[in-house]
Amino acid sequence: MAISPDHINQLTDHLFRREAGKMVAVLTKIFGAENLETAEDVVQDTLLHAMQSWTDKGIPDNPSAWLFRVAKNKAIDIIRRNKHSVQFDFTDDESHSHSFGYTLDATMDHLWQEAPVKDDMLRMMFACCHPGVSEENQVTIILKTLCGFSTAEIAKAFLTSEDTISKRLYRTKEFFRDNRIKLEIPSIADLEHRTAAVLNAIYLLFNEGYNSTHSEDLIRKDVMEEAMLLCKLLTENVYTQTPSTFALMALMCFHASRTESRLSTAGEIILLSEQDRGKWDRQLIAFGNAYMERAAFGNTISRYHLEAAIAYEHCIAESYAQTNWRKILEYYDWLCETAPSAITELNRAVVVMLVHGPSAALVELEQIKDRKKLASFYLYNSLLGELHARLDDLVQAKQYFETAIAQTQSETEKRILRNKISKL
Amino acid sequence: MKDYLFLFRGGPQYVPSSQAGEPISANWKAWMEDLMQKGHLPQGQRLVGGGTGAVLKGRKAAQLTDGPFAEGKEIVAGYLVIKATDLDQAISLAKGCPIFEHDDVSTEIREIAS
Repeated sequence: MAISPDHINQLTDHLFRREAGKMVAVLTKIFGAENLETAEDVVQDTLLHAMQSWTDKGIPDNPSAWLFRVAKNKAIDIIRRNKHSVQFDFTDDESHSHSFGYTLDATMDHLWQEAPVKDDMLRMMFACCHPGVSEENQVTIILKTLCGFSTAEIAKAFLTSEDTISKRLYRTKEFFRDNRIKLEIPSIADLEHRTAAVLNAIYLLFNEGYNSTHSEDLIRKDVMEEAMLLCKLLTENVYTQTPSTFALMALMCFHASRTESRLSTAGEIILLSEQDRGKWDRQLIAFGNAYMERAAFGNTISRYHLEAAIAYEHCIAESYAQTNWRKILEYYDWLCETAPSAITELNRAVVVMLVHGPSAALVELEQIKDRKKLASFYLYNSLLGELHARLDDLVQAKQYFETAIAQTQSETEKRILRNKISKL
Repeated sequence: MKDYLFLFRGGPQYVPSSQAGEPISANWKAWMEDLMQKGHLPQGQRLVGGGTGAVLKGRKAAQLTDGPFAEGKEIVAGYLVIKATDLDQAISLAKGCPIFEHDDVSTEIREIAS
């Protein structure tokens, strides 16, 4: 039965994106990270092949298995053709067995089972978050390889040119090649800080989805979902299921629970005080809480624990007025001590405003050490505007709001700031 | 003599359910409050860093795995500080512990920095 290209396209959006990440991870494990390009080409070929075949013959019963089988056969062809090529280094034991004809098929079959695929995705994440790759490039290569985003989609998500994204990807792949990066779980001695780097990249990825200041769409649900899926992988693996991992997962669940209430149907921002709490996803909040229970061991409170605890206080408050701001401030005090950053101090000042009033918050803002760095940040000037408005210094307030408007690229943000000016 | 920390993992443990609609009870808050009240370094003691500890596993196991994070899955059941001349002596002391009567338990051994 022939199927309309539209229907196939709908399927590609979901299935292809998800399966592409898995296939790239497995193939990169097979070929080595220095041949990431080859892995991506095989996946691209496989998806094209599927588009043609499925349009003609209909979608197979198990589309994922179909994709994996085609990708696996293409991989076997490449290995047979390159048995003696210097491009492929099969020197580590597991890869070495690929070059033997008679074990090749069996080895290959095993690699595409569910558990090894998950392990390969995890290894791929460690490679992407190698300390030699900048944070910006880490997030970019994760979106490209593991989340199946096209260069154009990533460029849109970061409001930058495809050219810039291509350069970032090129640099990372070059780093993999030059340093012969293998897909592996780091040694025990390195595991803690390497896992922390992966968590940080997931956190950045989630934040990009949660509030896409770089994108036309303020909230990118797809990016948030990808971050959560990747973190879920880490919570399922014995090597990476640290308290921080569970806490990060909880933090993302709590924040994601509010997604539906944060924008109006017209796409305008609805501030926390105005949000319809009935729209908050209770199931996600319960999931977050369950992850938090699992995060509660050991003797270290990470920044993710504290940020999750803050998000949780919002989730359980029955109304904005009933929010336990004092408890939140306590968590912020800890956060500023354990993971000091100007951005955290800035957010803390908002809570100080609600607990101790605008004058106290102004004093706190002036005490932020790195506040020069904040001067070009729209939220800093928005808060200054808010504080001066509450102190009835309307001229100053307007100035700060106008500065903030010039500093954000998001039209939605600009509109809510203009709205604040008009209410002065 | 050095101080060694035994961290016992395993035994009966609470597995959180995540059914929707269940009332939320945030047991984790007690854990956080507790740590926050105690201050930054709960015992004022640091552990000697990466790769210098050992993990002993129960039952099937006289097997020994290096390092602190092999058993991330389990919840720490309790801890004990003992004095020993070196890691080897600490390991032999730990092996006598009755916790190894049970399946799926492990003990992590870490030196406390002096």
